[in-house]
Amino acid sequence: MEPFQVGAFLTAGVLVLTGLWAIIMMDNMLKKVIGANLVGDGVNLVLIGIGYRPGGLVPEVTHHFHASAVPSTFSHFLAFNEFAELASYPLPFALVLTNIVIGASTLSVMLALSVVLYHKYNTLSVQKIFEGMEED
Amino acid sequence: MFNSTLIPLMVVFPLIAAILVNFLHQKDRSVKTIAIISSIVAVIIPLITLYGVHLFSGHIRTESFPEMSKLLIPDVYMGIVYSYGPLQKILLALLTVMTVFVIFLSLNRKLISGVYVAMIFISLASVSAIILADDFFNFFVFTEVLTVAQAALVIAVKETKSHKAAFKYMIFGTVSGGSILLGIALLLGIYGLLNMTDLSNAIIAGGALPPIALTAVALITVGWLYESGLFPFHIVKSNMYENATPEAAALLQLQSKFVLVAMSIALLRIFSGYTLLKSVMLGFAIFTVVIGSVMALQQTELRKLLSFVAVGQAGLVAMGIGLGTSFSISAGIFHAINDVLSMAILFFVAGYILDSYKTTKLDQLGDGLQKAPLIGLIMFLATLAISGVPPFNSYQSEFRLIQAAVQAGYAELGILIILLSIATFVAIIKAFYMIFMKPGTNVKPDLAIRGRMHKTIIVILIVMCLFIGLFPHLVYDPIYNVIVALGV
Amino acid sequence: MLDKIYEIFHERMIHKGKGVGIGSGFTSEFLMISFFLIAGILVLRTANSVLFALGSMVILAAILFTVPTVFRVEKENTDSINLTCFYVALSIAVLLIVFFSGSEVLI
Repeated sequence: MEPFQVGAFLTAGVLVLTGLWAIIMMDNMLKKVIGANLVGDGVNLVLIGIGYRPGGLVPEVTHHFHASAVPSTFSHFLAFNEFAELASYPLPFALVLTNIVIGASTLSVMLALSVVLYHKYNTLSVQKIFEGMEED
Repeated sequence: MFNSTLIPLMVVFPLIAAILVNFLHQKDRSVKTIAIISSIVAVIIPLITLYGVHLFSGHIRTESFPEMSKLLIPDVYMGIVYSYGPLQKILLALLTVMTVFVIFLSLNRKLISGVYVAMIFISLASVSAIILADDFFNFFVFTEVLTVAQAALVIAVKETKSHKAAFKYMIFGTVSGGSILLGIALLLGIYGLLNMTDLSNAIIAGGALPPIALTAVALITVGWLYESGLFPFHIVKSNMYENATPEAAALLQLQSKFVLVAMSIALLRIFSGYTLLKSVMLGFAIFTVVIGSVMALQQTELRKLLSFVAVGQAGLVAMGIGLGTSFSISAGIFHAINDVLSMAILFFVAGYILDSYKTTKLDQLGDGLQKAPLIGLIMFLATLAISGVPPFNSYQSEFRLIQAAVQAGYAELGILIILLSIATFVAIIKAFYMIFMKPGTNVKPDLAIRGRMHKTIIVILIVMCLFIGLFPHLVYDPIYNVIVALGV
Repeated sequence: MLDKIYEIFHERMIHKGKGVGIGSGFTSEFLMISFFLIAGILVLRTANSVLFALGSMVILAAILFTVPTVFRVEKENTDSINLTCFYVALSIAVLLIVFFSGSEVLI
């Protein structure tokens, strides 16, 4: 494993643990939401770390590699040793992009709910909102 | 070629319908028309689709060049794969039929919000994709989409309790989603694969699971617990069912059980040689079964009672899957199918009670048989159905579960299943008595509410329960054959 | 002893459904007792038969002395977000420990 990857995974671990800590221990609703977001960010960093290659190229078949690059199967990439040896792993980037979009949508819903609950209770304290008298 | 279009259409069509009705929000007649037509078309698609596999963008199964790629298997799928077989057909047929019923009841309740109907279609598309997907990341994406759609269905009730329930659901949903994705990332890092079939072959080829893979298993199991509504997420799920409209709750519990089935099969396929996973699943399932039943017996409000019954029954399904034999897994899946029908009837009855009496608190209700004898009769029959009384469907599945438990060497679990049936019966018959037979009521029913739509739908569902109970082999045999073929 | 148990249930559950709740409370208590016994049996039967028999008796006696358990279960299963967070954290930890230890004893 490259030093960058080790650093990335350690940072991701810190992010995930911080996020979990915020969700479990924090009383402020917004801090819980931020914690939830941090967990997602940590997981994204793990994915990026997996796809890392030192000195890696952007994994797109450009004109440099094939004059009329129209990929229909993958076997012809074997001819591009240079590309195969230097390109970084493209799959995790697609996964991260999708996860960022998912994270954004869940964050927006959670923040909207926080706003509504704040307007109702005039506090962001989870203790007061969730542990108070249950309305029947 | 034709079939190749139909398989992804089971996901794409509801998504298109969702976008359309969302776009036409506040144009009530258009929304109603499109919702009804789309839901009926969504039922037809799974019935006319032939069994097969759909390879997105035409990426065929190809050689992996192991000496260069370091992959452990010689052939891999290069793209996203959806597979459609008899099990998927049964699940999708039931899912789409129930969605039609829920849409009809929601429109009947004058919930003609384009956004609300869009969320129902998005949840349908998500569960369809979860059932069909052979790609783990695609599976994860749709579980996250489902979480947001289900939260939206609960938020639509517009009460503070429902907002709180949705907030809790989203927070824990993000944790579990992160957990699943981290597990997928770790598996991708070790094996370089996302396709479930390929992962399964690679893990078998790779021998004993390394520690990172064990971490991945643990993390994905956390996600499985959340998606299924098992302990410790049973409270969050039951809170969601309780605070949604009863029709939405019927749909939510169905979706949760089908996601439980799909995710369990995915986990057991990928980690097929790892027996500790089944033991862990069994342990959590037993916990959920007991806690769900105990909590259901303590409730005095109908929807909360039914929520805990739904959670307990999900635990029973998971128990069948956790026992680990082909017989028990197919019995568990069969029970999921039977249980969603009877739970749906009970939730629809709760919907009628809520419409008529404006409350579902058992203390305040009574004399229901005078106003709605048919609803009372169907609720009684649904109670018998869900408790495993012959000739209804749950008898067939619970009997098979008990047999499977005894055959697997866990006769005590057979006793627990019988006790659960008794507990479920006591809980719901108590509610039946309080609503329909107890003399005197504190609230006057709204006599204008005739509940014709409710009555029609619950009669159809109880007939389905009876039909499956009398002819279980029509549903059970295809499931058993699929599970044996999968070799989980 | 049964009278004493009935009195405890009566006192706590009389407001739930005009006494109908007491019957369901009894059922849930019976279910909890059965669950503890079955869980104990499932774990102990892998050991020798003397330990199995003695252990089951001890569990049964312990449960009967701590009746009623359902009210404690009900308190632990409220809608509290903090309680759910606690059990989620506990479950994640238990899962990681169980899978990492790779123990085959549970099968």
